[in-house]
Amino acid sequence: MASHSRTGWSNALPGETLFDWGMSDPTKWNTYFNDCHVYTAGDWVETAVSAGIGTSATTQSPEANGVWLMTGAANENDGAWYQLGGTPGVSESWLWDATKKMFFKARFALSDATQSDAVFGLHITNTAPAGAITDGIFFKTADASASLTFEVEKDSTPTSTTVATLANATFIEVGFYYNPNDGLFHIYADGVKVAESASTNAPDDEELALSWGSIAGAAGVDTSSWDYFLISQER
Amino acid sequence: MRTNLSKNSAGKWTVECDYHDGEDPVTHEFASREAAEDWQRNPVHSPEPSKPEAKPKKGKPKGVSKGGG
Repeated sequence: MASHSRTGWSNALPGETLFDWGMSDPTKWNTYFNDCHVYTAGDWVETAVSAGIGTSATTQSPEANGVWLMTGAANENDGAWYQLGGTPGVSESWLWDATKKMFFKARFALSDATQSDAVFGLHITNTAPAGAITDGIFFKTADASASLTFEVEKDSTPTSTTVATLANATFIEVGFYYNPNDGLFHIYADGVKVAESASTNAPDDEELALSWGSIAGAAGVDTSSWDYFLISQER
Repeated sequence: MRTNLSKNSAGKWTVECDYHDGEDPVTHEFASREAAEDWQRNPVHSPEPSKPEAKPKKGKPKGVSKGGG
């Protein structure tokens, strides 16, 4: 991408509206970043299950860096799922494109890394993502396993890649970079590239929404902590 | 919006809906967990269940005349 520094640093090309603007042109990327400093319930389509004692919900956690804390009720499968949107519905606003760079990064922790189901990343509207997701690009850990996998799925056909082994109540930073030059998803954990995934099953015909959440894999109160979400794709 | 599936004190499965619109959440009662989950999957567009258990809504109570005269 071209850049110049006539009036600052810019990635705008000669003739473009922001060529003389002294900053990088943010409109060249479709970007969402939330540092989780304020939890705003109305920004999300929230699907909570509270069959046991207590109420599954997310609150702002009183800790450094800005953290959302999802606390589940006490039964197995209690917890909550979130998709960006609100009362009008889920905002499916990213469409994977083989020719466009795409980045995702998040940091999270599970109180019980083994007995939890957690899903986060981009997927189609789905109120119970611990079950089947037809289309998406997301990270997932299933009940009875501390293994975190990266899933690239189209029309219910996934490509699954192992990313990391989670530990109880321990934050981990994970992300991916889709590189159109090699057609691969480059997968990172705690700042280190750990794997690659083919894009054979990347969903190119369904818009996707930022999604996150967890449910308990066994009886007892489980929590998940969410520090930030970043998604950015070339326009 | 938030939907929350739970069991009330009478042992009935319910889904509480909060549209974050300033109104009180509305709670719907279902005959089974499966029926509640089905409705929760699409609470905006699904038909109202047959026996909605609505909390009192804000605003003027029914039966109050418009006054005047």
